[in-house]
Amino acid sequence: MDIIKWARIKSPWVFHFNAGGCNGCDIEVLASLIPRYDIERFGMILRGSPRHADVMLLTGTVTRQIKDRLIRIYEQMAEPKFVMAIGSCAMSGGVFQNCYSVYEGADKVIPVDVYVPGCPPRPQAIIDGAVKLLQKLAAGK
Amino acid sequence: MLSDISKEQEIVNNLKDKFGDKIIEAKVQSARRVFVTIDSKSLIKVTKFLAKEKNYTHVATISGLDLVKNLAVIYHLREYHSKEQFITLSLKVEVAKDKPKLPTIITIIPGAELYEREVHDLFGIVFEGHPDLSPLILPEHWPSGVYPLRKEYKLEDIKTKIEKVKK
Ligand code: SF4
Repeated sequence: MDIIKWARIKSPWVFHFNAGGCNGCDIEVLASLIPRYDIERFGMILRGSPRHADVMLLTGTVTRQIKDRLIRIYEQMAEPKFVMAIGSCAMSGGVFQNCYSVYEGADKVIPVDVYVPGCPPRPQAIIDGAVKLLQKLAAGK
Repeated sequence: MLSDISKEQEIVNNLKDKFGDKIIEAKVQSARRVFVTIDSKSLIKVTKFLAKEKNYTHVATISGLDLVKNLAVIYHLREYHSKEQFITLSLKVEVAKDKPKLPTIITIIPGAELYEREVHDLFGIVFEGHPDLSPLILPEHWPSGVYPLRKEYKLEDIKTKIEKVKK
């Protein structure tokens, strides 16, 4: 295994972005970052800035108003970058689907690597999604 | 206590005595809940009476309603004087859809400013005398003249219109 890939898999730093959800998913994301679930055993820590992060934890429906801001923040992340769409809202629009001011899923706006279903998903599901992302990276993407 | 609706009845009677046939309908729905429908021309007078003399100084929210031929605006007013009992009075006015204009009530109840802007965004009702009716909650680059909560706008139409504005 080459050393860059090894380092990437061992330290996927995350940052959290709410594109317009109800805060249900955000609470679960925060819960999954606490010591009880110990996501740091995968080398993950929360960063405050997209410039320091490899993985974006995207929650909530992408609204038309936030679309341009989301793209700008996504572009600020350093390559290689990955996006986890957390919750039904980020996957498909969820309960807000077919509303006049939202997109049907974050993948209409930015590329998404892992989808975590649930409204909201449990911390275990979010951690499972993170592990799936790491497996995807280990397999060589 | 709950079945005692004398205060509610009193405000309904006061309104009927003072404004007569300007009050289209006034009824006590239940304890602490009063519904009043009035002629849109007497909106300012009735609101002034309620705010200045009856202490209905707080507007909880303003909702819009599409009645297909007409639009309606409902002002949910709350009184603030008695500690034991708050009456919520829903004041409903109807306006014609082709000329949706109402006077603003922010000279009487300043808290109505943002709610009026919201109703203007979503239903296209123009509140005359309002200082700033620019979009409040609709996204940027929203096509002008599209009011998403009106019944005649289908989701597909709105989407094609948004696409047009982008180009
Ligand atoms: S998926 Fe459910 S919990 Fe998560 S932001 Fe949407 S509505 Fe809220």
